Amino acid sequence: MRAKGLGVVVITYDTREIVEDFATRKQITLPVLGDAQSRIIRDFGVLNTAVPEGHMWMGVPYPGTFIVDANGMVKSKYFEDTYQDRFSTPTILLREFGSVAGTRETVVRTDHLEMRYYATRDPIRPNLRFTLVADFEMPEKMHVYTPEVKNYIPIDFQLEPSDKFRARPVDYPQGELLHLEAIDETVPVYEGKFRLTQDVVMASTRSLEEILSGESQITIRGKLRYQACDDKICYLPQTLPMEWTLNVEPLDRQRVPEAIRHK
Amino acid sequence: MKSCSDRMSLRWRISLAAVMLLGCVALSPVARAQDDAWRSELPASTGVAVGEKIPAFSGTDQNGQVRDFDSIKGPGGAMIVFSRSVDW
Repeated sequence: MRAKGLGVVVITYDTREIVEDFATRKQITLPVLGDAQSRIIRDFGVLNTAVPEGHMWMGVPYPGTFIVDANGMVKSKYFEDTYQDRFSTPTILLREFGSVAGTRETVVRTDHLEMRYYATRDPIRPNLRFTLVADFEMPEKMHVYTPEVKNYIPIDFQLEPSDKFRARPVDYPQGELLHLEAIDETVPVYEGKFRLTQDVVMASTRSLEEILSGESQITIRGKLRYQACDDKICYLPQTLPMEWTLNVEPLDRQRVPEAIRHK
Repeated sequence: MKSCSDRMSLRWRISLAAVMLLGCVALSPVARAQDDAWRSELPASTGVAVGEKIPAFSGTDQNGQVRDFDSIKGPGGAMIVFSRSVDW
């Protein structure tokens, strides 16, 4: 984020003592503000109002991230539906800047396209939201069909279902309209370079117990189906298998000393 | 015909049964799940809208320094992360 010109701050409902203990233990250098009275949290309008009066959680924010410009205007924000889930920073970087230092790329080349795919984050953790990315490059005059196409085989990306994660909808970019002179037809296509992304939210610690106590790795499998055509020929439909093997690490369970914990 | 003491005894037994029933309901997994339902409620608000200006703020960081937006932002602005807690 700093390399992209953004300052970073973390705000919690913790006391200064809790924040100091955590930052020292984890050697956190970016500013962490303990908003123990939830003043900033209220001013931003993110106070969790569902917490019952007197509960230890009273004063917590809905977890989320604001991206603001240098004048303080909100450019975008990232909030999850449930308090356990978290957007990972690389996914935010990808959305904001279009690039991220991802994990190792896998390159697949066919007669019709080149696909480079990777995950934005490795290792991953329970409840973490990260992104599977596939970047495509097609030779001149070659195209594949967008999901909106009628009467042709559209590009289709599917993950194998698993109880270890929740797959969010695939993000297909806007295609271009291509006029096929030979048959006087206009169709929505992808040409040149384009990108597909799919966010994945890992399951809870309990659901990942077997993985965390074992080899601490997960393999996510998917497949990409497409039919490529150029200005003369439509080629046979293809299905490409895809696989991401990622390390899974547990959540940090170490707590601050009893004396300074929330009561 | 029942005596007054019989009626009192009956009333007492009904009350006791009701209290025990309520106790069972209160301790049942269903009741606990209902008690915890607020935890899974969707956010009532995600705060300042896109296109709006954030409120002025300042707070003390882990080093005891008072930080505000101007001391945090970079040339492109800032990423402001609200986290539940750094402890739990």
